[in-house]
Amino acid sequence: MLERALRLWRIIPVVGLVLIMMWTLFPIYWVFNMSIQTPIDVISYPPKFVFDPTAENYSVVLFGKSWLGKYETVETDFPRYYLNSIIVCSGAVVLSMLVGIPAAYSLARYKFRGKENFAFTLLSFRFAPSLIVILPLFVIFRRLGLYGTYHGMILAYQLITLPFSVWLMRGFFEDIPIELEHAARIDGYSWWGIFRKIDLPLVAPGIAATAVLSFIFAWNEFLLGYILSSDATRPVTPSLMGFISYEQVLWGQMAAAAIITLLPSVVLAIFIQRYLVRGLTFGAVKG
Amino acid sequence: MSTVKYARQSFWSKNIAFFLFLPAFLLTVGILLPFGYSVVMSFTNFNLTAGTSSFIGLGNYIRLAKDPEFWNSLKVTMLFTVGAVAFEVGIGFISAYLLNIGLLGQRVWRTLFLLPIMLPPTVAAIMWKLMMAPIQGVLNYLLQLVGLPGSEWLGSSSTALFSVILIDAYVFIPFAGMIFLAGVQNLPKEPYEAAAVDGVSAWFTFRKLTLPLLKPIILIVLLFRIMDCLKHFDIIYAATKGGPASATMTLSVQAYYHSFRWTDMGYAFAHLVVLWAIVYALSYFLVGQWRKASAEVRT
Repeated sequence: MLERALRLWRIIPVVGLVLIMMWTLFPIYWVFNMSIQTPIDVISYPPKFVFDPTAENYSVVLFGKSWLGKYETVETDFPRYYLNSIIVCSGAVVLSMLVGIPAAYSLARYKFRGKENFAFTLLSFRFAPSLIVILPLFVIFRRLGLYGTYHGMILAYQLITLPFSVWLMRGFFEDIPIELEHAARIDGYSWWGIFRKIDLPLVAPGIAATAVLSFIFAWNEFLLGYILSSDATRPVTPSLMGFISYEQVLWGQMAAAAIITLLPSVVLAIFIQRYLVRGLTFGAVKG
Repeated sequence: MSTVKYARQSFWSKNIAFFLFLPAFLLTVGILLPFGYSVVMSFTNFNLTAGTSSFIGLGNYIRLAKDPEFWNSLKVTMLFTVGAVAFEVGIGFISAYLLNIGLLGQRVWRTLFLLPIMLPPTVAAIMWKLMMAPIQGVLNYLLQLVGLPGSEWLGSSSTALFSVILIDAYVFIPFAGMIFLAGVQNLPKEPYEAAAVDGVSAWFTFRKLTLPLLKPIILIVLLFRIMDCLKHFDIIYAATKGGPASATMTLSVQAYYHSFRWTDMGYAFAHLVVLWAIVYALSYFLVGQWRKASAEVRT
């Protein structure tokens, strides 16, 4: 009796873990499953777990042909949206790094008035409802002619990438013992020499992780792109909304588009897994 | 934090902090300007199509107080936040525990467990929407396989809010779980050894040792999740657009409709200013609690 109770006690965590893994993985498996089904298979009931896979949905989505559903045909420009996302997100990350690295360094190494206020203003952008900045940007951008342009969007995406980059990289710079800089100073290095020869090599992995995470956040962002882009510059996440009204008939293609859209984020995230905890908490928890 | 002292003080090196800082400062001001614009415009009847705006004092805020739609969206926002955060913290904690007790293949499970956190939320919404289709969807099929009744999911006003909470939980349970996991791994060893020597019960150790030591971590999770849920937009918008019958109409979605569907910008800004005030007050409180808790843990 006691032995049985004990064995039961041991098995509960295993069951729990299996349930959590099913909950985590099933949706991804299932959507991938749908993405390789023909229009007939994908809407059959009961749902098919075994079938002849097809790459049709992917070729339709990737090469921008019309989407042939069972009842309806839809034209989309998915490759273009994908390219837009790459342009806007890369641009936003490069600008954030150019502006953010010096700012993070000065926050980590110098004392000046209003420093902490500035840092917290940046942090508060993370918590503010983004519409409160995006709606006025929409009005202002239309007046300035920035609406629907790549450079306008790269500027607007700083709302996502800049606070994050500055906060995270500040932590990475603070991790470097100040004594190293003092020692280099005595050896006659200039400020620039210290920054380049001592600090940069040491924070390089941190900077790389910051850049990758910023890219993921920018890639996953929806509202900015949805409101501030024109059809020609629309990034991929908001573009999915454009054909969501067809999801009833175009399940296979929707699934393929979803898989292609999530791929960069998930693949990049696996590479910088070590920094995820630190990154997602703005450096508050050092994982 | 320490300062670097330089022997030769040229103009450049004296003001170096300022120069390094200037570009980021300018960009931040660039973000603050539209924010101020929102606050000011919330006191006008600015209309997007007409392009006109005149100052109407507290007019929009008085209208808010009398608007049942506003109170509904406030209620939905709160329900969504409470439901999603409870779900994510609860299951996140259990997951962190299960991923830390050394079951076979732990490292692989940890990596797989993290996958949903990096999904674009809109994509997660679309994935679940495909699975939650009432007639041909796989979820109802699976429920039926184990003998449970199906659901209308996103299609009915009585289950839609629960369904979007489920989608949000799917994406953010790993967030809570992985932070708890980091917290558990960073726990100091000595107090536990002392507790083991004293022979106190596991429950007592958990309550008197683990929970207080994890308090800063728990507060960080709460801070990030509560703020994100209060201002939540993308999953709900992609999954239900606020419907059916305003069952999932959060403040952000409502503000979006006022601004773009009805071009009533002034009124939309008033919604957002109220939401911002709630978020600001709560984050101020939680950040304060977090600082206090982490100071306590360190001493």
